[in-house]
Amino acid sequence: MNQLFGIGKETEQWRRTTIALDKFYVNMHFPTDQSQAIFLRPFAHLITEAQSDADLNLFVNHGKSGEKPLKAWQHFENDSSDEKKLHVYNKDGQHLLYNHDSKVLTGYDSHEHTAYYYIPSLDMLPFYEKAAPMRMIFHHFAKSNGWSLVHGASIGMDGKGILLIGRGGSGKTTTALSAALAGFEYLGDDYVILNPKTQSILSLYASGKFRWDSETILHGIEKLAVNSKDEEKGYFFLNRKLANLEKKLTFSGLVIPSIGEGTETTFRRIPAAKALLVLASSTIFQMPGSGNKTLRNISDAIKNIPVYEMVLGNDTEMINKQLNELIKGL
Amino acid sequence: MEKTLKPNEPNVISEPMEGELVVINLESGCYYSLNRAAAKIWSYLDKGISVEQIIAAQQGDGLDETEVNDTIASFCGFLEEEMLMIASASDQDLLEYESDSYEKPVIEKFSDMQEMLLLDPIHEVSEMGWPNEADK
Repeated sequence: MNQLFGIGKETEQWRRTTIALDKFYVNMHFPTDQSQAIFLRPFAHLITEAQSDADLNLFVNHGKSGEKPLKAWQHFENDSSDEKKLHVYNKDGQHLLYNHDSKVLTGYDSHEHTAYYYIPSLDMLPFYEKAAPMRMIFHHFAKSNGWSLVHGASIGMDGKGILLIGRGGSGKTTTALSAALAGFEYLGDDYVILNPKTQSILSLYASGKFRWDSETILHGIEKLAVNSKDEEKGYFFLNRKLANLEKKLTFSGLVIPSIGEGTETTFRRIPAAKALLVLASSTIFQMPGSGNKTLRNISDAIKNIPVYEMVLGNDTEMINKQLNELIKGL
Repeated sequence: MEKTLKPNEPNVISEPMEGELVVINLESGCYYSLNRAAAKIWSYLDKGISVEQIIAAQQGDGLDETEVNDTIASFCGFLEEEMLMIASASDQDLLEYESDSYEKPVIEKFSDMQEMLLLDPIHEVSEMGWPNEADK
């Protein structure tokens, strides 16, 4: 698979950085200082001392000025269809994915514990690939460890984490970012990893994305944005000065938020089946290669977790007060 | 001839939770919530018990047989329409099924994730190499 991604030349000089996900190490290899700087920003909180032996070796390749795109990339790009945005190929534990929207080609070789990421030019990267890159690679890596990369935000207090789930617009990002900026522990706003064996939630991206119009609730959030309003959403990176970034929290509760009317925020406990329905559907349809195993992993992770429905008011102080009360009671 | 159905795997995946059942159709992008009664019928069908046997075994005080018949037949018909279950051509003898107290099966359908279904069908590739699609 390395040839397909134009990787393997002896002359290549890699910039290598190790990140840790719980007790697992990922060695990320970048061809230039620029790509290393761009891709490492959301993983900055996970960077650890260099490891010679990693659980996954990830190689990034991007074209240099005037260079022709890789043949494999051209093959998929020329096969572009208006209706479909992803192409997935599987062969004996190897997975290849081309995303027509992001123009990113990724490969994952589960036997070789190696992953590849290619884009012809760093200038082509869409905002979401800068805020939360390589999602498909981490989906496969999580799956190979018995974990699940799920679509949800996570915050917590005193080591107890809650997972906020729901489709876009349900209020999970608003809740998570409001809590993060108020000093709650923060794991992520859109994608986190569930480990059913240890009943824990792992952070992957220390970034946040927001709709430009959500500033009406999250006052001042656009000042954090690192991009302009030309792009669909604003995004930013959190560091330990801005927020209480954590790498892992005990999975203690699950919250399904919805936007209500007025200032009051309320929560009530609901059956776990609703949570499986919401989390499994919003995760599985976004992660190619998901199937029974992903559904079973998600089910295992949430089956003993209390589930709450939270109706959000437009007062962030009230949201945070109710979150505080909910988490303390877990 | 009695009618038997089986889950439309691998396009359809399912998982029980607290007696209820979550069913996801990976091909259509729709997902479903089945209440306890519906989940129970799903598991009987999965075991090879026929629709007729399930209907015949329903018991309860003052039960309207026609209504029970129509409700279960209509529920099973919906499973087929939505391609969640398909006709099973098993030659095996039908399994014995004990009588059961009747509860109305309810299935809720959700299609709000269809727009998220961005996948091309997953291609299995041949030894010809990547990214050639396998010969059909």
